[in-house]
Amino acid sequence: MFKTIVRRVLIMLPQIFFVSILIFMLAQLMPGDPFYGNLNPNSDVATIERMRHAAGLDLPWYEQYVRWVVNVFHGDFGTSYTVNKGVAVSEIIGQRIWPTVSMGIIATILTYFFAMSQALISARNENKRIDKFLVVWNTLTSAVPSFVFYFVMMVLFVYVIPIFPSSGTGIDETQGFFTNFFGNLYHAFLPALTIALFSTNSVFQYLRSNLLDQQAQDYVRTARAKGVQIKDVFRKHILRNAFLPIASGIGYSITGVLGGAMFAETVFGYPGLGALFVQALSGRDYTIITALMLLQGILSLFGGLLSDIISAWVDPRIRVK
Amino acid sequence: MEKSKQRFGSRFFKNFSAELEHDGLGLTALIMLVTLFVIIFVGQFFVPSNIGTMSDILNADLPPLTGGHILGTTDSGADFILTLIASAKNSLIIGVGVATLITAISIFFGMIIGYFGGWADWLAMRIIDFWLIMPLIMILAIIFSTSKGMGIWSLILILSLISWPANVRLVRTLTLSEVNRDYVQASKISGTPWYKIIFSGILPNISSTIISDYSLTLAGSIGIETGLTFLGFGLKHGTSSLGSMLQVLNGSASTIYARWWLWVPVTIILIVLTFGFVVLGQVCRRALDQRQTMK
Repeated sequence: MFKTIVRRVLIMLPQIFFVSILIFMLAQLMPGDPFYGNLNPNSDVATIERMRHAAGLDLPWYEQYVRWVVNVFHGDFGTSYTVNKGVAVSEIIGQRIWPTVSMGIIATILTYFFAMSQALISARNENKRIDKFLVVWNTLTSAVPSFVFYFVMMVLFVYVIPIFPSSGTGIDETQGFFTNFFGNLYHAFLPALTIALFSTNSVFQYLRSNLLDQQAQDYVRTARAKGVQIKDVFRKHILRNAFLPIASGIGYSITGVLGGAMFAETVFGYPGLGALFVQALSGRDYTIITALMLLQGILSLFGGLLSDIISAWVDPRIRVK
Repeated sequence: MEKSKQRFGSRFFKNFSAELEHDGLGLTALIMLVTLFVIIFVGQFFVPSNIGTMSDILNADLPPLTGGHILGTTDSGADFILTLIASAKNSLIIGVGVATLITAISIFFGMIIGYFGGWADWLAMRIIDFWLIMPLIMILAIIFSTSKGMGIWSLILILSLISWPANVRLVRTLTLSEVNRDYVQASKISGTPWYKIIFSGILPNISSTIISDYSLTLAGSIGIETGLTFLGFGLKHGTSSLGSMLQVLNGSASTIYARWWLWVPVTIILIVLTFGFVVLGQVCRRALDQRQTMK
């Protein structure tokens, strides 16, 4: 087990290097720079050149890369240019990260809850009407771009039945911890519930076919022949065998967090990191964009690592080698 | 040769219609898609060519059933239905274009690395594994935002170049499961050249999964384009698409409720396009692979 983890971590080191190169290349691809982007009649070319020099923008790309990496290791992501002018990027991200994290955690828990219960109902009623309905429903939610469902949920639960707020995160710096906690929970619940309801497909399909597989195994027939109720066979044997493999998917679900949050946070007016990314892209705030990309890239790599460790831990056959 | 091909085609259509008899959803999807195609094909002759760039402020933002516009007008004063037709056409072109390009790439590379294996396969898989955990939608948003918006064809090209890995991996896995079958070994021993084994031996056997994957890719790329254009980082201004029609809702929650007619028709077209193609892809898969038939 220890060997597996060490091997996996060693693979990750070059990956982190490639991620940083990729993000740096994307940053270089973006046109203009923050100084020439903000020209006005009083701008002085010499001043701008001096500011560019101070920011290191006149250096060759490899020196800029080294500079950037060194700064990142010191926790310095630069300052924001347009979104929140002059404020350190790490501070802006620090303010915005909790709403996204809380929404992500609630959404993940709910997704697994919905997907698991749907798969269980489906597998218990194979080829009956409810099974067919759930399969079609999951195909529908995976095929149609999810943000149009967000509109429906928004109309339903904010305007038709006004039980949820239409925007905001419910976090107020002047309030105490508990007010913030429950305020945020209240604001994050609708986006999280919506994300969860319409992203069950992959877990559902995987778990359903897994459950159907397990039901046809010999040990189930043996247990049934002994006279064990099918309910108990499910509870004691099938569920354990079928649920464990999906545990490893949790790590990979980190990969899409920010990309998905871009849409959910924009539609629900929930200012977290996804909305920040959209804002920064519209305002060409490169320091924020690169910082967020780096954050998501590194998180994805750790998600992959987590998945591999969980699956090695759950299923000993993977550890060999 | 010609004769056997014809027989394959007619057999496929026989299976296809047999599947539809047992599958009400598939039949509905087919009818809806055909209706949409006819509307797009006929309707495009009525769409003025400047529909994306026109601005008729006096007639802008009309609600449905006013001034002779059944679904009202857009924020630039164009007729909503005509804009919808132009948008659906563009989305369809993007979906079909990306899916065709990606499927072609994945059949070519996926089958070759799956068939030959070795260091090329190892290297390709490392690249694919790495690429798959990257936040692709964010990378796409950055690339699209670098220019002032994309034309349709450059969007198709970039979307295909960024999002091929999952498809290549699928085709490779399918090829790997076929390579060691007896029929492949037999044709290897009898001296058939590799390209013949791959394209006329293995490809037909894995085509059913490739077709359903094609429909998923089609739906997915329509979704990505619509989503990114909705956020403001997709097609350039003046090219109408389902996403640019939704753009007025971006950041204004009350509009979503107060002017629901702006997004409900667009959503219906989106559902018909994406869900319809996925359902139809599954019908095709069952028609090609009779072990999965519903009968």
